[in-house]
Amino acid sequence: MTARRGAAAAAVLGVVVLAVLGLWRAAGPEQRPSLREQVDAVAATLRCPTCQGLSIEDSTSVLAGGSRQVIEEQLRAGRTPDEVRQYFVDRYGEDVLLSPDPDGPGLLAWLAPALAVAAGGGVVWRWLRRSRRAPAAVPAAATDPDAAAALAAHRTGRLDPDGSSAGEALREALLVRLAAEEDDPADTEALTRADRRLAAAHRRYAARSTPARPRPPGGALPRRAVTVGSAAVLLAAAGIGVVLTLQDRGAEDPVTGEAPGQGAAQPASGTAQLQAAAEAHPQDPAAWLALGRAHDRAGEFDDAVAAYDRALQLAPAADDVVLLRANVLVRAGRSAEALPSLQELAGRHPDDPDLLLVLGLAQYGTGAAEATATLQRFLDLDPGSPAAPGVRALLEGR
Amino acid sequence: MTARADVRGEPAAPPRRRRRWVAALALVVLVALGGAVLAGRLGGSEAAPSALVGQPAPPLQGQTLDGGTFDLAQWRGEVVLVNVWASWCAPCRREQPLLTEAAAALGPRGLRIVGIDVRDTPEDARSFLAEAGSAGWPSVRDPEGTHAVEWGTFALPETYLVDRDGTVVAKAVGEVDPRWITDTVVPVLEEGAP
Repeated sequence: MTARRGAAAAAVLGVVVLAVLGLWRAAGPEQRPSLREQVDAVAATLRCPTCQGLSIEDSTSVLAGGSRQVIEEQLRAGRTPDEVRQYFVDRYGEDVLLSPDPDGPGLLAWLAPALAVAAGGGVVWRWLRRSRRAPAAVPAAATDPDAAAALAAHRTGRLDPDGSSAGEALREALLVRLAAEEDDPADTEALTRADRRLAAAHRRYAARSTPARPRPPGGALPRRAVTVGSAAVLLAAAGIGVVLTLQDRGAEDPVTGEAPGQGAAQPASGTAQLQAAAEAHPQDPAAWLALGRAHDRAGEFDDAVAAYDRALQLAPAADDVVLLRANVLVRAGRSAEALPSLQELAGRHPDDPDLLLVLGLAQYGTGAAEATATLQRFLDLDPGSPAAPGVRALLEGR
Repeated sequence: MTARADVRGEPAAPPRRRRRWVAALALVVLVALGGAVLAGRLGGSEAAPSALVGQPAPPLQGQTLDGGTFDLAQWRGEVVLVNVWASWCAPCRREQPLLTEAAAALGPRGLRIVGIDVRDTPEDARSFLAEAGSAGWPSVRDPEGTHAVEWGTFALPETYLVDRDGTVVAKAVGEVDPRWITDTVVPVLEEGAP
């Protein structure tokens, strides 16, 4: 690599030296050219008065001959080529010069090619640099070392993003990354996605220049912060397991989702961090939501409900969170508490299968007769749901 | 409440787009400037027919067709028409009667005329004058065309008007027409009339 770079540098140096030598030879004092050569040189820079576009040297027209004669006489009299050219400019105007005078607007004509070369070179350089960096950058984006360091710092409580918009985006990305690890450490796709987002957020945070922007109180939940909907389905599936276990029926049947006890058996590694993050930013509903989901996953129902309640206090209009909270209550065997909010949601989203599933389970838990109809509607609306087999088992067993 | 892709719109996208806009704008401005400069240069020769107008008249000294010598400096204080011509120049032949007429009409009021006979043989020139009307004014011989160049001549014929101070005040490119005589020459004659 260094050898190749050295060779490239030597090549560039060689070209530069050659160019300088050429320029020097071209611009430097000539070795006493003959008068004829001098006349030719001056004539070549002047436009023939009677013919468009030709130089006096190239033209054979009547006045071109006179012009050559004048140039020769003046050079013989000891005038410099520039003085001779000025003599013609005084009589024929600036236009008689074939190359524009570098003073005044003619300067643009001289500079334009140099500027164009510089601009083109800049574009090519940037393009080369980007194309060389691009293949490495794409896979690296997911595991940006800086972002990984930021994540580690965040885990140990050493990183606390400021209140700027970039800081909030970073905090959100950190929470999402922790939640993704929490949800399913084997889901590499989700982890990669979260990593990539974290890397982007961290880059923006590192490059931020905007002052801190106060967050509007009670702002809407960052709905994309967590994939609440998919989580609801998975949790509801787990809820079926709870119900089935409670009923002590079909325990040997494979049930979709995970077994209810499993979550509780694995204490959440990220819960403490999420707790710290939420306490550090008590006004951030996303932090409380992430904490609630972690508790939810861990089967710590009361803690989950408390965290969801905090999130809902900050953002009461978040239906997703209301549903998650109700789902936890159902799983905790507190279906009666979940029913009012679920019925309120069902009034506004009558055809949402996720909602119907949790509502049906709550009704089932309280022994309400509508449970069968609600769960049947769920099956009708979303027969392919991962929770569907469990629900069918439930309905058949009834 | 379906699963949503965890993708956030990049809020940092605008700067690059803005930079592209700036580059495009700079290009447009540069092209427009270049066009303006070029148009100015190309159109310039029409707008200002001679850099010599407003400047002191170049010297004009040499042998005349009739064998004498001429020096413009001796006519200082007179209004002079310097007519650049040649026998091989068709428009020169056409404008000869008008010049003759002007010499006759305005000569008494102080108008003088001198010719510069460019790259001509004395024989051709004399036969031209015999055909087109023998001019009552001298013509300086300019076999190499150097006098014409000295006066900034682009093409034949051209006629320069020199006022009493020895300044070139006007130039007629191509054939002189009666209007130029009445509108340009006559006022200069009247200016410092004794």
